[in-house]
Amino acid sequence: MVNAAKVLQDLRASAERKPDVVVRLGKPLIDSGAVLKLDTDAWLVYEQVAIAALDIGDDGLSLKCIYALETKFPGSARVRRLKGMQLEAIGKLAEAGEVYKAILEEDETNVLASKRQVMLLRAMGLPSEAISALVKYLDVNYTDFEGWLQLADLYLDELMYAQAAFCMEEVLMLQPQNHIFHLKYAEILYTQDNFQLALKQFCRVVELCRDHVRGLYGIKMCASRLLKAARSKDEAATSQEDLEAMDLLATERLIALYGAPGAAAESSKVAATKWIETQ
Amino acid sequence: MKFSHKAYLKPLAHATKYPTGPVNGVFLAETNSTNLVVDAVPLFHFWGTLTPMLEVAMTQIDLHCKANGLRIIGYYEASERLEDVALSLVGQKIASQIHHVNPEAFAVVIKNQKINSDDVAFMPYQFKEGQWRVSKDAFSDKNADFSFENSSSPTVVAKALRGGLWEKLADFDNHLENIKEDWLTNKAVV
Repeated sequence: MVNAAKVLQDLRASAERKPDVVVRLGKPLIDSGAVLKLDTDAWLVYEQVAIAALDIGDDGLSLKCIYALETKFPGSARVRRLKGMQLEAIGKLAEAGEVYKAILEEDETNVLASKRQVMLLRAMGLPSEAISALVKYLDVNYTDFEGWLQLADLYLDELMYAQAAFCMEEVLMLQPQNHIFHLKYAEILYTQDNFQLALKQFCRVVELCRDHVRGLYGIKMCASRLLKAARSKDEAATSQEDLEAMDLLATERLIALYGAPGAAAESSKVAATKWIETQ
Repeated sequence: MKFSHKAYLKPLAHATKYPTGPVNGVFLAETNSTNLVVDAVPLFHFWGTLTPMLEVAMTQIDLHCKANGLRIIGYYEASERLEDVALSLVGQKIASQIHHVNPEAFAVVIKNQKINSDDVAFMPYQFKEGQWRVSKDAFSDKNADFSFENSSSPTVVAKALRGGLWEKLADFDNHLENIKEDWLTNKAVV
């Protein structure tokens, strides 16, 4: 027997976007009224299901949840932002904008409304405006690493790699132990042809997360590029010996990972092994 | 270009699996045939504007092709926005690189709104006069450039996707997280 409430709680904690699961588990709880047995968590579930229902297009369910929340928390800005999201979901972008504007007029520091406003601009196909709005938000809330991550993505959409790299640097100052952020930074640097720094970041990924396949591939790509390029006069540049050693390490680990019995499908193994040999 | 069932199914399954973001991949044809698109290989569903893993993937697909008598014949993508059918900047770059090697190469943008229907969900592009242009009236009697090997493909695929077949699709992003994922052949889907 699946403990629906527990699964929903875990999904709230991990922030994974699995609207089909949330609705499948949450709808019966709400329809039967069993959700109210969860005490204070009940309202978190209503909010969670409201958002998931928007994701899968169940407008009725979403409105039901929002109505319950409005009744319990009249006038709440948090609930009004949900109403704004519902308007966005049904395509009423201008009305949604009005909702967020009203919330911000009462309280210009409201984080949820500020963020929705940024994404609304993006949904309206106004990327530069979305970027400006988010930059303005981050001027005040510069420790919000999720904001910096979102800004990096907005810049990447416009192929503005240098600006995206800067955003990732801010993210890493706030979250230095997260290997995925180092990985993203590494890939942005590689895209900018900054193989020297990309290599260091890929190494950090593998340091933080042993045998990280994507990180190992990254090390090989950078090492191979640097070894083929003209020897750098920069004293801080990685030496030929070190590059070869890193390449060898990455090669050994990848061969070991792909070579383990049953580790990969035949076609993947053949292609990967050949790639490793010829890089 | 004639699309086999597999070549129509996999891109749509890929788009269905990741409805909230962009997806892309490539099409394969046999080395000696001229116009049958036999298969598709899904590439990414995040960080699509970054290059290192794209380089790894394209090289591995090339190696896979050489080992199996195939070649890369086209590129596909689906936008994260529902109504968007324009070929993205990154898409144009990748498609152009494929076209550089293979002048018959084409691109397809998936019509997201048509995925759950019996209508054709592919919007093909051809490289003409220095630009990627929409191939008008494709998949109809007016335009013989693009068609299906099996005319029931759209209906059959829509039904299969409704049944949840898309969950089994693996792309290169999935493979990098778990090398067990069969991204090159996706046998579990076909």
